[in-house]
Amino acid sequence: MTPTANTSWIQVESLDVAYGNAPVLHQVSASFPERQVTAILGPSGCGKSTLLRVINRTLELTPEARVTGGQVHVKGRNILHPSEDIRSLRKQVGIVQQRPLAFPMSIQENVDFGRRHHHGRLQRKERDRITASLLERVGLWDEVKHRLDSSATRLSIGQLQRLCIARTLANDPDVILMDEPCSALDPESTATIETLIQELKATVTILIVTHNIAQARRISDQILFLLDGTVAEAGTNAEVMGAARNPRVRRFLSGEEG
Amino acid sequence: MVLFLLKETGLFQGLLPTRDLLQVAAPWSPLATPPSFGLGHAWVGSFLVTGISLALAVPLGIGIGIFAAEIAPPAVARILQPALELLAGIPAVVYGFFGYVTFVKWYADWSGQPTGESLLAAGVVLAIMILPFIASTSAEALRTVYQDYREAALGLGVTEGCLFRRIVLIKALPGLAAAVALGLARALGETLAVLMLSGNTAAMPEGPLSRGQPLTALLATELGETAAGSPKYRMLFSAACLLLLAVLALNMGILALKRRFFEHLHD
Ligand SMILES: Nc1ncnc2c1ncn2[C@@H]1O[C@H](COP(=O)(O)OP(=O)(O)O)[C@@H](O)[C@H]1O
Ligand SMILES: [Mg+2]
Repeated sequence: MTPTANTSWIQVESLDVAYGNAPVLHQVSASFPERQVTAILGPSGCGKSTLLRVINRTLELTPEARVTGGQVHVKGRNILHPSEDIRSLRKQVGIVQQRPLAFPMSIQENVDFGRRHHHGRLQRKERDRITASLLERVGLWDEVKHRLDSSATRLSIGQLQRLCIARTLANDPDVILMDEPCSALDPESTATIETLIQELKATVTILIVTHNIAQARRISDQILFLLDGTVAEAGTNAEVMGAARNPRVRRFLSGEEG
Repeated sequence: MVLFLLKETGLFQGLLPTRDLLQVAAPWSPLATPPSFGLGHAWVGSFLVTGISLALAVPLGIGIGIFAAEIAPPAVARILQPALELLAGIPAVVYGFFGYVTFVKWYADWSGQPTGESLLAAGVVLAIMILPFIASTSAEALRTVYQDYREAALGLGVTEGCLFRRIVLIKALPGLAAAVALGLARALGETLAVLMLSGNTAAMPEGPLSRGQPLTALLATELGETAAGSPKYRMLFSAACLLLLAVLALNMGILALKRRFFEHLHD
């Protein structure tokens, strides 16, 4: 087995990924420490979403996508191994996808969708209590408390984004992969989510893709910077923000390049 | 087109034999005195044949649709779609001959009668004819929904079955209903194969195994030997109008369903 370094919860080694014949990740190696927030930065199209989708194995739902080399370990488990229990992995390593999508059911049922599948049906009172607390935590409760049983498809995109975070949290994952979770949120909702992330850190390992440099500076412990499918910079928040070696990364962090 | 048909019914001149049109129990005996133009046997025939074909083709077609959209390996799915289109393009007369040398012949052999035409044979062959339409329409609907929801749902670690039951089926329902309506419209309007296999006998059918004369078969048979403007002629055009209306209503239903399907797909 590969040596899983000290506190490293997730270890990515020499990962190669291609869509069809077009390589998108090339020899990506990174480690994500347990119960820390790692921000993944980089220009659009550099492979951030692809990396997240490898880690909970949703990438393979895209027919033309292939992992062509490398390994990923989560808590010592080789998750790309063919015998891996994918469903339990996806529950343990939850993802908040870049495109928030309501399922064709009520708000209540959306929140409860994965949870009910993994942990079974609950008494109505217990279920309502859990739903309320999840919606509170993502800052959506006040907006939807009077229409929990109405269709989730009528929510605004910002509301949906928070609903999807609640839906993933409901699975009680050990790792949460967040793909631009605040892209449609106003500053107030963004602050709520940032507070949530800080709370979650006590028990959960978090990877967050963001285009908001200030946000990465505020909430992350570690930073991984990708350029054109390779790791351009990796280290603690202070290291990368303060003294990035790569000139393009420096320009990006200073806002000269976006 | 509707207007031309309506004109020929004599509706505008008050010549329409409305009473006869409603006398479904009366026999079809245009040569008797007085002539009787009951169309009941034809409606019953159409109903039986269409019912049989839908009962067979809907579950099978949607099953094939599910298989093509999600279960089949990509290589198989790639072959399946053109295969269905090919089947859909075969002329009705070929299906008619096929039915004649199979089901009709088998029933004749089995029952000991000289010929074995029956409403059942027509229904079965009709089912084979509409199967590709139902299968490819439902496959398309299911595929679209799967594309949208697969990753979001499976990303939460639920099973394919859960994704199908709780999301895909619900989202694809209008699309599946459109597939069924399409099959129904085609089955109701199909003439040639029905003419060849149903026995084309103007009598009230006793059951699926008896010979009969669905409406389209009656129209095709009788129109050629009917004097323009005669009561029989008016009667035939009235029946054609009703058939047209039924199919038109179905097609409008299909359009509405499809619109609903695509409108609500992304909200
Ligand atoms: N399904 C796909 N098929 C082909 N190419 C894709 C697909 N998804 C993403 N890509 C390409 O892979 C690259 C990385 O995409 P992605 O991981 O989404 O980048 P990011 O999240 O950093 O914006 C981009 O160039 C994108 O165009
Ligand atoms: Mg992305």
